[in-house]
Amino acid sequence: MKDIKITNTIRTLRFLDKEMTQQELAEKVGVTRHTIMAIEKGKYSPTLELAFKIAEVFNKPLEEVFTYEK
Amino acid sequence: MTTQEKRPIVFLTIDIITFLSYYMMLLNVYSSKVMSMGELPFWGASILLFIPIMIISRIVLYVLYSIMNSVVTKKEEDRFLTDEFGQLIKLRATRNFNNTFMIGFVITMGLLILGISITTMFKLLFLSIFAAFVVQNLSEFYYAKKSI
Repeated sequence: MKDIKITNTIRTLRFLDKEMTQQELAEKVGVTRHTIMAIEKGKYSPTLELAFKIAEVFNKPLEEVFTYEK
Repeated sequence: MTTQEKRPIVFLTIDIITFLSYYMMLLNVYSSKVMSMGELPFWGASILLFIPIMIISRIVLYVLYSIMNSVVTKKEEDRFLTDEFGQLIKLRATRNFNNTFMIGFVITMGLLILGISITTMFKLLFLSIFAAFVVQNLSEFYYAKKSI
């Protein structure tokens, strides 16, 4: 499997947001904890809709949560 | 182990139990049914019945498993395959199911040219369907474990 070039800061943002758990984030955006784990590890790139939902939870613009590395 | 990893293992067990029970039952009634129905209608009906039996068995046994699991662990069953990542895993596993069955089908047709009997052909088709279910469950487990 190719390495995904999209990185994210979800782990840090969760920590800064009162140490929010993966389960809590998953419930807020309507996916399973397994999906959040996969996104955090960079194994899976979420759809635009989910990416926006995650950014919205942290009140951050999308580019602060997800970055595309050239 | 997460629910996403446990579920394909449970389904694999259910599929093995269902397939073996159904196949044993088929072999038991084979002689009497072939005499009354004929060879081809018997195998045709057997394969047609196999798919709904497999689906019903999966639903019934998985519900039983979920209830038992909830009672034992006192935890509610997690949602599964309702989000985009779960759907992607399911799609890939289904692709592997289709590929496995197609390989089995092509091999069976090849062996038919070499002169195997109709009975053996249908037995091989059954085996292909079973192998496809096994591959589907193992793929789901693998993709969930590795997060694709």
